[in-house]
Amino acid sequence: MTGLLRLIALPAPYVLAAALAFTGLAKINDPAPASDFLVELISLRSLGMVRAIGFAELALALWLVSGAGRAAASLVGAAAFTGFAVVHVYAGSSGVEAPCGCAGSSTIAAAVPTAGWIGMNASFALLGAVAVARLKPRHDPSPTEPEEAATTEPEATP
Amino acid sequence: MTRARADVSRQIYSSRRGLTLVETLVVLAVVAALFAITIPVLRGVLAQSQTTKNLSNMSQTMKDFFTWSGMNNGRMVNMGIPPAENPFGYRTQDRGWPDVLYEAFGEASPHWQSTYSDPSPWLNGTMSLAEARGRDPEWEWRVPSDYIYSETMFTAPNAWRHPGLQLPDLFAYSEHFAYILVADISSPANKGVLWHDHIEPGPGRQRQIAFADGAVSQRDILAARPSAAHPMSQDAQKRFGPVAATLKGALGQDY
Repeated sequence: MTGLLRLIALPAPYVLAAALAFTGLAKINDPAPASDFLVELISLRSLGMVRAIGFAELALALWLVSGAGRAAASLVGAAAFTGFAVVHVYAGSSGVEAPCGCAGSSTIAAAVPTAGWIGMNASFALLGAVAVARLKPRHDPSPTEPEEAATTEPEATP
Repeated sequence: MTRARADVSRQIYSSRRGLTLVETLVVLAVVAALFAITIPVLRGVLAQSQTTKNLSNMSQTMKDFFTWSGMNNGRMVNMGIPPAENPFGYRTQDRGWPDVLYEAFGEASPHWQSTYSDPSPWLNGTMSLAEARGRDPEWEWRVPSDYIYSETMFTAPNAWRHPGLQLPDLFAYSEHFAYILVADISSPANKGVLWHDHIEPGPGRQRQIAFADGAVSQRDILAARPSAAHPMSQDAQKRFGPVAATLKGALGQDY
């Protein structure tokens, strides 16, 4: 199980980064659909805010692939996807019919039902959580996981 | 000494142990809870802000309409009825009322949003009258529901003389209209009214109303409607028939 989790955790930041980069760029290039969604959701019409969210997603994606503080970056990514999932749950329960514009005005993305977006975001959040749990800082001397301590200390050289 | 250093080292390392999966999930649950609390609050605050802005715009526009009327020998701005069907009021030809008000008041008049792409929130103030100029008035500035009748109310009492638009027809057309009359136009002083349906986020559906004196209000349309039937039910006709007679007498119109 631990091995499987590690197998999932290793590429997880890159998967999260890819998803965030895709949706971020879509929001920057085509913010109108997400803006319409926000109007229905919270009566807020702001293309600038949608673009700002897009830039934030892009910055988070860059952080994730940079390798610096990867566990922290994964935690922030997981929190972001958790937030997105909650927003979709709320939109679904409030009868918001507009597509979320998460991927711009892509017709394929618009065809994804609310439940699909909830599942997708929850999956990414879970992926980020696994990454946080398995991508521990180096020098972890946890006595319960000696094999991990050994593998995460490559500098223990002669 | 060595042991003490090892203890310190262990403390430092243990503080950098990182989060377990369970701890991470707890953190995410807290994040989710915070989002779930924040969104409805944010929604309420922004909706209230938008409502205030809309009502302010409507009040100002209503004043502009009547100011314009005062500047033009009592004629009223054509609210979008094609000239052939609109023998009363000011002939705006193929221009929409935003164009007319812009010419009269410039940017001092409230800003309006095109109804072309999204017919419901037409008062969000995202398009200036200057931007609106030159657009097709017959389509872009017509509010889909009841618009022609709000125009008729604007032109009262002249509108009652229009052979094609008589008060009973108006009552028959819209229960919303009748309710507004009952609630707000019992006084002949309130002979002008402008409204628009404001679709609240979620299940709410509000009607925002501006009156000739600049007063504004908002009410829940669904709560005000006697039924979803359209045109007006017999029950509604019984209820509003006397009001129609009262209004007819107050306006002194022969129709």
